[in-house]
Amino acid sequence: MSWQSILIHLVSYGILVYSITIISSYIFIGIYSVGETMKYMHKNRFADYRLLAISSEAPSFSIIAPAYNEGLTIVDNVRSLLSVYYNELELIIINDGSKDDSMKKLITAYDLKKVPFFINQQIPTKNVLGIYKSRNPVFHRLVVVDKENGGKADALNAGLNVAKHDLVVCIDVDCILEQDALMKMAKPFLENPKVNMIGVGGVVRIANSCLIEKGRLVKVNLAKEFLPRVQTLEYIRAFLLGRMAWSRLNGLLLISGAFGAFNRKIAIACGGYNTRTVGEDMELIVRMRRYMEEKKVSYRISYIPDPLCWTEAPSDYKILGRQRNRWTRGTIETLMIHKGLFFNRRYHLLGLLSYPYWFFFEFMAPLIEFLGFITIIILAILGLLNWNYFITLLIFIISFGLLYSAFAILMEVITYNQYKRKRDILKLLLTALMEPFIFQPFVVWSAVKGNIDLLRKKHGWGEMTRKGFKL
Amino acid sequence: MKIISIGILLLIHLAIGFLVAFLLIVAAIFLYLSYKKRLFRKRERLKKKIYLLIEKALFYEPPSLQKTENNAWMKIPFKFQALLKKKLPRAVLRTEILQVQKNISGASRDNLQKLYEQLGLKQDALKKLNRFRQWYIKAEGIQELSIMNQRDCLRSIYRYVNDKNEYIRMEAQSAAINFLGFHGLRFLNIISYPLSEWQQLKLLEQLSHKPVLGFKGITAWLQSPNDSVITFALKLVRVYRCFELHDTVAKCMEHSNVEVKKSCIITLTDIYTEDTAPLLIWHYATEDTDCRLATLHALCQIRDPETISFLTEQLQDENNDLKLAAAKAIMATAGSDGINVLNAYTEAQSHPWHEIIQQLKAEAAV
Repeated sequence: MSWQSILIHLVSYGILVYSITIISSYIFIGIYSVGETMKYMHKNRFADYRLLAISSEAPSFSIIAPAYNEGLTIVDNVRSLLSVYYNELELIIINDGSKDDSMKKLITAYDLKKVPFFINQQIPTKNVLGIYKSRNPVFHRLVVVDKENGGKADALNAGLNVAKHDLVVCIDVDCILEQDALMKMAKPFLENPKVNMIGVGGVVRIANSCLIEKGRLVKVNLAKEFLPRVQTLEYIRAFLLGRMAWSRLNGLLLISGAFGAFNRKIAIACGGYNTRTVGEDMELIVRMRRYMEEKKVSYRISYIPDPLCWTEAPSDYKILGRQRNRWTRGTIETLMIHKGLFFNRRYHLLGLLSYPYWFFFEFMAPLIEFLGFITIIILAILGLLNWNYFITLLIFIISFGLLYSAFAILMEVITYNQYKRKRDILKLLLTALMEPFIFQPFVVWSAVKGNIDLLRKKHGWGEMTRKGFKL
Repeated sequence: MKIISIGILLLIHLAIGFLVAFLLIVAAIFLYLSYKKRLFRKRERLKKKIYLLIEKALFYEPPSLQKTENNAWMKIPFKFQALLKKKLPRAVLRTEILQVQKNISGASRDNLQKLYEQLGLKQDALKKLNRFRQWYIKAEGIQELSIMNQRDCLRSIYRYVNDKNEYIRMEAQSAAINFLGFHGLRFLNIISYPLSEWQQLKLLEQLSHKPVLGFKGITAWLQSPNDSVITFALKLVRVYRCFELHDTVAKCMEHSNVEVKKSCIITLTDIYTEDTAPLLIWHYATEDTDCRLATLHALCQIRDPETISFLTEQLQDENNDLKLAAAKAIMATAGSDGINVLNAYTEAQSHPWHEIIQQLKAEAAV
C-alpha cells in the first residue's frame, strides 16, 4: 500500500468515525431531551405562577441590561423591560460609555436624576460616573448606571455590584421578555431544597418579522428572510434539544448571554464576568461550575423550555459572520482558560463529559469540517478522490442533519407550537433542506475565521448593528 | 477496496434509514397539526354543548318530593348521557367543571360538586389515584378531588403526603390543607422529605384563604428534625404574628443550619420583644456573613436605641455590605439624629463611609 493510499484511508475513515461519533451524540441528545421537556410540561400543569405575584415570600430579582450606543431604541427597550410582570424587581440599565445620546434620552424620558450611591465594588470595573434614579415614582424600579466603556462583561460586573437582590437576570437590553418570564425563571430556584440552583437559562427565540407593539410581543410570525429563518431553526434545535438534554444531565456549559438568571452571590464569589474574553456568558458558567465543584457543594444549572425571551437575529451575512466569529473565539478562549478541566476526574461530569464534548464537537467540528473540505478538493485535483465514497458520506451527513432538524420541528409542534400555520412549518422544513448548502458552509467559514482571528490576537466584539424592532 | 465498499454500503443504508425517518417525521408533523386542529374544533363544539349542562346544574333547584331516575340528584338529558360515555366529551366536561368550580362559591359550587359526583367523575379521579403508576396522573387525580372538595377521599389522599414523588406529595399536602384548613398541617409531623420553597409559598397562599384556628403543633414543628419544616413553621409564625412563640423561635438561633438561622432572625424581627435585640447581638459574633446581614436588617426594623453603640462598632467591619447595613440601622434607630451619629464616626469623611453617608442622607431627604 502506497503512502498516498494510507493517507487517503486515514482521512476517509477519520472523517467517517468522527461523523458517526458526532451523529451518535446528537441521537442521544435528541432522545434524552424528550424526557426533560415532557417532564417540564407535566410539571407545569401543577404550577400556579400567580403565587409569585402575590406572595411576600417570593424571591426578588435584579435585571441587569448593558447598553452601548443603543440610543435609537433605548427608551422603548427600557419601557419594555419595565413592563415585565413581577412583584419585587429592580431594573438596572448600564450605559457602558455610549458615544451616542443614550444617556441623554434616558434622563429625559424617565426624569432621571443623579443620586449619591455607595457601590460595593466586589468585582473591579471601569469607573462608574454616576447612578441615576427617576423622580417619577412610576419608574421606581429603574436604576441607570452611567460608566466608562469597558465592554459587555465589565458592564455586567458593574450591574452585579449595584444589584440589591440575590437573584440577577442578565439580559440584552433589546430583548423582549414574555410577561411571565421572571415568574417562570424564579420557580427552579425555589423547587429543589437539596441542591443549590446557581443558574437558570431561558429559551431565546427569534423575533424577526414578529409583531411587537409597545414593547410587547403581540404576534409570533416566522421570519420572512432566509437568514433569520434558518437561525430560528437553529435556535429550536439548540434550545429544545441540546440545552434540555444537557440540563437533564446537569452538564450545561452555557446559558445564553441574551437571557439567563444567576445566583448573584455565587457569581460574585467566583469573580464575576471575565472581561478578557468575548465569550463571557459561557466562561462565567464554566467558572461557577468549577467553583462549586472545588467547594464540593452540590449544585445545579437548569434550562426551561418555555419561549420567554425574543431577540432580533442578524439578517445579513456580514453581521452574522461577526457574531459567529465572536462565538467561536469565546468558546476557544473559555476552553483555553479552563483547560485544566479536560478529562479531569476531580470535576466529575464537568471534566469528563461537558468539557470534552465542547472541545471535540463544538470547537473541533467546524475545523474538521473545513479540513475535510480542503482535503477533498486536493484529492479531487490529484485525481485520488473516491467519488462514490465522498458522495455517499455527504448524503449520509446531510440526511442526518435533515432528520435532526425535522425532529426538532416535531418537538416544537408538540410542545409550544409557536408557528401555527402549516405553511410556516413547511417553510421551516424547506429551510432545513437549504441549510447544509447555504448556511452551514458560511457558519463553518466564520468559525474558521474566528480561529484565525484568535491566533492573530483579535479580541474585539465587532460591530453588531441591529435593525431594531418597531416598538 | 473491499473495506471501502462495505463502508459505502453501510453509509447508503444508514442514509436511506435517515431519509425514511425524516419523511416519517414530516408526515407525523402534518398529521399531528391536522389532528390538533380537528381536536381543538371538536373540543370547542363540545364545550358549547357541555356548558349548557353545567349552566343547568349551576342554577338547579331539585323539587323536594319528586324523585329522579336511580335517585339521581338531577335528571341528565338522554343526549348528554350518551355523549358522556365517550372519552373526549368526558374529559372536556371534567376540564370545564374544574375551571368553573375554581371561580364560584355558595350553592352553585355545591351543585357543580353534585353533578361531578353524579356523572361518576369522582370515580374516574380515584381511578387515576389508585390504578395509574405515572406520577402526573396520580397528582392530577389528587388535584381534581381537592378542587371538587371531595372530603371523603381524604383518607385515600392523605397516604400520599410523604410520597417519594415530590409532585404527588405536594398535591396531597395541598389537598389536606384544602379539606382541613390549619388542621391539615398535621402532615408536618410525619414528613421526612423536605418542603420546597415553592411548596411553602403554595401552602401559605392556601392557608391565607382559611379561617385561623390556632397552631396546635407549631412548637413541635419548630423543633422538627426536618429543617424545611422548621423554616415553614417560622414563616407561619411571622405571617400570623405568633408573638407568644418568641422564646421558642429564639431557640432556633442555636440551629446548625444557616438557612434556619436566617429565617429565625427574619421571624424574630416580626415578633420582636425587648429581649430580641440583645439576643441577636449575643449571637452576632459567631454568625456567618448572611446571618450578620440579616441581624443588621433586623436591628434596623427593631430600632432599639440601646443597639446604637453596637451598630457603630459594625461600621468598622471589613465587609462593605455589613457597613452599609449597620449605617442604615443607625439611621433608622437614631431617627433625625442618625446623620449626626454617622458624621460623628471617626472615619466619616473617608472612603467608603463618606459615600455610604451621602447615600443615606439622600435617601432620608426623599
